[in-house]
Amino acid sequence: MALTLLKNLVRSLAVLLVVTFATFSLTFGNGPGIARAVLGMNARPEDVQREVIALGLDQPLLVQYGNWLKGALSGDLGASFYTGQTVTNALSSRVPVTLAIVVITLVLTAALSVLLGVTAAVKGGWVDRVLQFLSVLGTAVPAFIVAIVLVFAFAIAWRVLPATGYVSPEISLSGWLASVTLPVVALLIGSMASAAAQFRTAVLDTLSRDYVRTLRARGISERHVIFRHVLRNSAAPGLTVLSLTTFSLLGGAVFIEQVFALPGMGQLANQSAQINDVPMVMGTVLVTIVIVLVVNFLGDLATTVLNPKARTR
Amino acid sequence: MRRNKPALIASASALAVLLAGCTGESATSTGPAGGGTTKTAKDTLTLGMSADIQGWDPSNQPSYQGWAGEAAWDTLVKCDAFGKPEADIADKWSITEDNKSFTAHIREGMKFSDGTPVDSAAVEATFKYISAHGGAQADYEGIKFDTPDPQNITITWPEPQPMIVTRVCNPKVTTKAILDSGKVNDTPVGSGPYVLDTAGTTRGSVYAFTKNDQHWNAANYPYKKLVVKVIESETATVSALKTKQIDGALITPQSYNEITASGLKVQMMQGQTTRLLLTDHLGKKIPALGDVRVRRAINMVFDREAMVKNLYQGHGKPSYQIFRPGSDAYIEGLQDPYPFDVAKAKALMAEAGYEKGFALELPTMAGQNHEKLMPYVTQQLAQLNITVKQVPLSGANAIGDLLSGTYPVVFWQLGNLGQSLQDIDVVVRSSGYWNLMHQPDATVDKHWKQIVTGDAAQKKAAQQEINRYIIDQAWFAPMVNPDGFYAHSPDVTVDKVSDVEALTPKLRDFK
Amino acid sequence: MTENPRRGVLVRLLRNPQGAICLVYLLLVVLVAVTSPWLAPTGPSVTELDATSAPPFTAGHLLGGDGAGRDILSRLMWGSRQTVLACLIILAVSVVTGVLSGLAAGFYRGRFEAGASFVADVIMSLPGVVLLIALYALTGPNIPVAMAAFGLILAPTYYRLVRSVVLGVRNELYVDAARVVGLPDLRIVGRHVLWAVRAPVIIQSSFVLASGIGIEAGISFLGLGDPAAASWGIVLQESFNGIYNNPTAVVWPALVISLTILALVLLGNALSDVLQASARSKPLSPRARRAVLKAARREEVEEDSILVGSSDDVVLSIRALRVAYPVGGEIREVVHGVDLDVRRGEIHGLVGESGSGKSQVAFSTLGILPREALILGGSVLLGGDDLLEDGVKMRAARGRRIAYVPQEPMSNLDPSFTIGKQLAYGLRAVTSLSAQQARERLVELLTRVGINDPGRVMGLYPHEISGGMAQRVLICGAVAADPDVIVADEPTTALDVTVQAEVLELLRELSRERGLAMILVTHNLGVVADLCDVVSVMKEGRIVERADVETLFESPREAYTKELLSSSRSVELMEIQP
Repeated sequence: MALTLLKNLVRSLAVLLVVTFATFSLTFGNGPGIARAVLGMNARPEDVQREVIALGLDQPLLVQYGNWLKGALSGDLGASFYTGQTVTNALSSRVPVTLAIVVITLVLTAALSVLLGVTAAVKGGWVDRVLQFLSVLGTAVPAFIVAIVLVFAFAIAWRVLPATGYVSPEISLSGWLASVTLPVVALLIGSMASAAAQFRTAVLDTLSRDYVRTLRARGISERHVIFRHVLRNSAAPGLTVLSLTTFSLLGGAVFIEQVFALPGMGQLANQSAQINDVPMVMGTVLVTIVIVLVVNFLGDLATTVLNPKARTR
Repeated sequence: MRRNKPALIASASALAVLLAGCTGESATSTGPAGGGTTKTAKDTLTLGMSADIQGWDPSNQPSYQGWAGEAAWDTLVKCDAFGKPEADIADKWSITEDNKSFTAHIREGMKFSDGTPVDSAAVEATFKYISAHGGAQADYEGIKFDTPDPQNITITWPEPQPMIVTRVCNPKVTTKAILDSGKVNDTPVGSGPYVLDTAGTTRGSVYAFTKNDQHWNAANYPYKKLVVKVIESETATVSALKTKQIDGALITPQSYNEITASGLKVQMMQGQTTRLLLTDHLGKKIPALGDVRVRRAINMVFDREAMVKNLYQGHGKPSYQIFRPGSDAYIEGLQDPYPFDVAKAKALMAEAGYEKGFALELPTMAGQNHEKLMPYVTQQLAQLNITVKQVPLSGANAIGDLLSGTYPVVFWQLGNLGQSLQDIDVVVRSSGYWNLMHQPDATVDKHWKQIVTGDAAQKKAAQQEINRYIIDQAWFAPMVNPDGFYAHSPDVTVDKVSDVEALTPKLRDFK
Repeated sequence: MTENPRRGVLVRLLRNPQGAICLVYLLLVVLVAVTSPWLAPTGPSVTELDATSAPPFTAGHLLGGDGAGRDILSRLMWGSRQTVLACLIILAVSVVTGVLSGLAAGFYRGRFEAGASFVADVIMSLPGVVLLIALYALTGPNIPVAMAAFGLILAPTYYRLVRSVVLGVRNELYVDAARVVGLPDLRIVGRHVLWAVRAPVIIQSSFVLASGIGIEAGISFLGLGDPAAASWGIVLQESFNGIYNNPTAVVWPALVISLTILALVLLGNALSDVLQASARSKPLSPRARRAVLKAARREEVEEDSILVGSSDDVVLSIRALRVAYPVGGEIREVVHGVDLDVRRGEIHGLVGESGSGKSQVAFSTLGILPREALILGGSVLLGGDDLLEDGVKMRAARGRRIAYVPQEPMSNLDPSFTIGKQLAYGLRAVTSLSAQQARERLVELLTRVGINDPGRVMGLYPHEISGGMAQRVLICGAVAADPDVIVADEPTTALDVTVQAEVLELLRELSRERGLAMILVTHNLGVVADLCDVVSVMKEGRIVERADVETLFESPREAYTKELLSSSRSVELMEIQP
């Protein structure tokens, strides 16, 4: 078990290196452009050249990446070329916004999709059909379109919730709740639909297992069969569903932040990429991958704990 | 000169601006979320700022929404809305006739926030720093100092500086100690009307200041505390304004109705002129543009009234010249020199032998309102058989590419300045970075010479001559002066905007 | 279904209303894309200042005008061109990359597979849009390049699909045979594997296109598209930016994008119904189910003439049992009126080939048929109560009076619970024993079924014990509640020959000790000869012969029984040979 986890850890580090290096290479090679943009319209070529050197953009790719990596290892992700704000500072204000939305959505997705998925699988019949139809619908419509529809309905037609913008919880808790409600709902619809469908499949799969028939034959009530045995055995695939949901939520959040003008990580990534602010882009990519890897790792860990085979080996 | 900064910010946070400009506007009231604190008058002034400041390096302070910098630092003199000097650190000053030297007497008894006196050494150190750091180094190349005593300083440029006041009113004066310390970006040391309150400050979101009662002009800064909040989203800004969490902020036209309907006041500013820059006057890249008739014809195909009414929803005025109304170069009472007349324009094109038109590449950038304006511009030019290909510029190279001369014609919502000399320097003179093709012109050079050497009246006359000349030569196709909006609480008085760029009120405008 | 699966896919798709509607809609989109230069009311960027932010249904502007005075309908029509182009790019890149790498990985395995799978895992676990944003820094607003990159991001879905199909197909006979004949690898791949993967790839493509349209619109919406171009995402973004001036303008692009994605998803579902129409039965809708059962009951009135033969020592009596499954739109009956009695202490063998319906009979007596099964008629009588008629009585009898010993011991234990726990749950569900008492009883019983160290075994998980031990555990679970009847479904088939004998011996002993009646479902006549008192032979859902075990083996009446006996002997001979 420890070996498996160690292997996963090594693998995660490899992913981290590969992806950060790939991103770095994508943004590499525009030193003069960046320096020029930093200095502004009035800069002379010699000023630009000096700025290129000051920003360290004259170094070869591997040296630059090495410097970044060295900094990153010691917790220093550098500072924005443009605003001088340190990347860690920027991330510390941006990441909580994105995480808040993703985590709230994830928790709601987990609770609701388990409920719906299990109901659909166990009840069958029209409940199943209706839920399946809704799930196709919910999965098909992209989250940002749902978001636009929500803005249109709630903020413009009915005027009950703020259309866009973010209020930090320190300023006003109710304002914060109001500002995250629509983004969460927009993300939730799609993620819930797809997770519920996958939970349904997982539960149906478990229900078709031989031991479920045997348990029933042994006279155990249907309620106990479902809640004690079927759910327990559907937990591992369920966790996989949730970790995949987390990844898709992280991606979806980028669009949702755009619609609702939320100052989150996705906005930061998008804005920084549009102006080649390499340290910021790298910072957001790094955080994203770390979140992905941590979720993966936790997922593996939980699966291991849940699976007696892996646990007792 | 910090002209570059707003433009840069506009591109740097292009998306934020675009988004703020467009998605903004809360359609609802969020209720008194955390607001509603009773406030005694003239206690705290809380301002919203749509983009964060870039640290405390005095060579890297924006003039656009530059309230934090204006709070922390003084300058040798301040510039008014038309670039004229007002007293600040210098209580007396003089400029030599050759426009090369600026001599200032430093006010007695001024102290920096670290307790050291404001003296000629500090001023010298500041200007030296500015000449070697930041994006305006070229403006201070080769300056020399004469500091006979701590209260007097003379700064001398190797060449005449028609805009010597502008040169002097920008550098934020700080101590040699902090400039040499290597920590210049960490904290401001200045003699300004407010002192940074580090306890109340969170970089990236809130900057708090307490009043510097020792400031020479303390009476004109009525608020005991100043708080500047970074609020990037327009909607959050509007909602903060409505719930009185902030007293003032810039807003976009989309929020105008919402703001006025909720009893807030709006200060209008007209700091921009939407225009085509036709910089290939000699027809080097696009031969047709070398013919003045073609440039005039281009001027005739835009229905400026309709643009204001439809594309700007009435928030603006048609414009026929590129200069700020009231500035020295502006010609009062000028009639539309090229009235909207497509038929006449076509005839002109034919006369010039270009009835078949030509191809034109127009660069576009996010955050410049291009998505709204460009279709119309494209279509109207097409009436003259000028086929426009839009070239989207993005990334770090965008500004470099824009100014590289690759595109001799650019459609831009460009700032106009109260100090029209500066506009002439940047947009009209061949060396100006917005004169994209940098083609020499004897007439402009001749008038510029008069500006460099002449007295105030001669300067003004020469500027008007230049304006007449470029209108006649149709170097530009000015279209609209769009309104800018500064929304503020009725408790706060903003009577005028001293900003030479007319983009935001200055800190001293809040009463 | 008798239709040829290789022919008429399109016909079948069109017969499926969902598939037909989606297909027609999507063809319409393509048609609009091709013809928009002629059909669109205006060009994509023709502006008319008076139409700025015009509401829908204004003269000349059916869907209104945008913030720059352009006709929204025209822009959407022109925009479909970019959407179709984006789809083609995504599809080409992802299919080519994913299918080729999947084929290579599945066919050649080795390092290539390891590397490719690693890359696929990495790509699939990253939010693709973040990569697209990073790419933007390099390429600027370039939709074709971004779409090609997105195609690469989607390629792993094909890779995994194709790889797994190839792995399955790889070892199948026809590929091996082809290899023996000496065809080069590439031709093997081309001829056989591509044929095998085509259906899943086509279905997957439908979903990939759906996400492609979403991402194309999405990145345009993020401001990463070319603002001068007309695309659905750009139109949506512009409308959204002007939502306060012209709120309805967002409706059209949002609708068009959503409908197109929905059409692709539904088409994918329809395709998978048509292309992968399997013989697996699906549950009927409740209404259809009621209708079928009602019709069956009407028939039964005439048919149900067999009197319930009640003898005092008959414990369980099955009468005229009919079981059916819905298969591809029809109801297929698999048990056609079976009668069967079991007496106290009697072991009744139910033999037949697989598919003869013997397991269906066994499951019916316990009420554990799959959900889609339909009991068309008949009764299961236990002590005079018809268990099929009364769900409450069935539940009360199950586990208490009728117990079940399954076929495959390993898959019939819940892998997540220890042996002790799952046995105790079962026991306590049907008795009023305390946890402690249940444990003591189980220890005792486990010892009885031949487990030496019951305390330790109860703490083990199913994967930690052997098959034989698992079957003993299951038998223990069945007899724990002291039932009257045991239904054993091929209880020894999955076990080693030596273990088989021991388990059979155990069953015989238990039956004798407790006076248990037992229905032993098996295809193995050796087991029958060894254990049973009475034998019923089933063929195609009917009992064709019933006799004492001696009678049956000595003088079988039916030809089918004879055939069964002879084939069984030859199988046994084969099993004996090394």
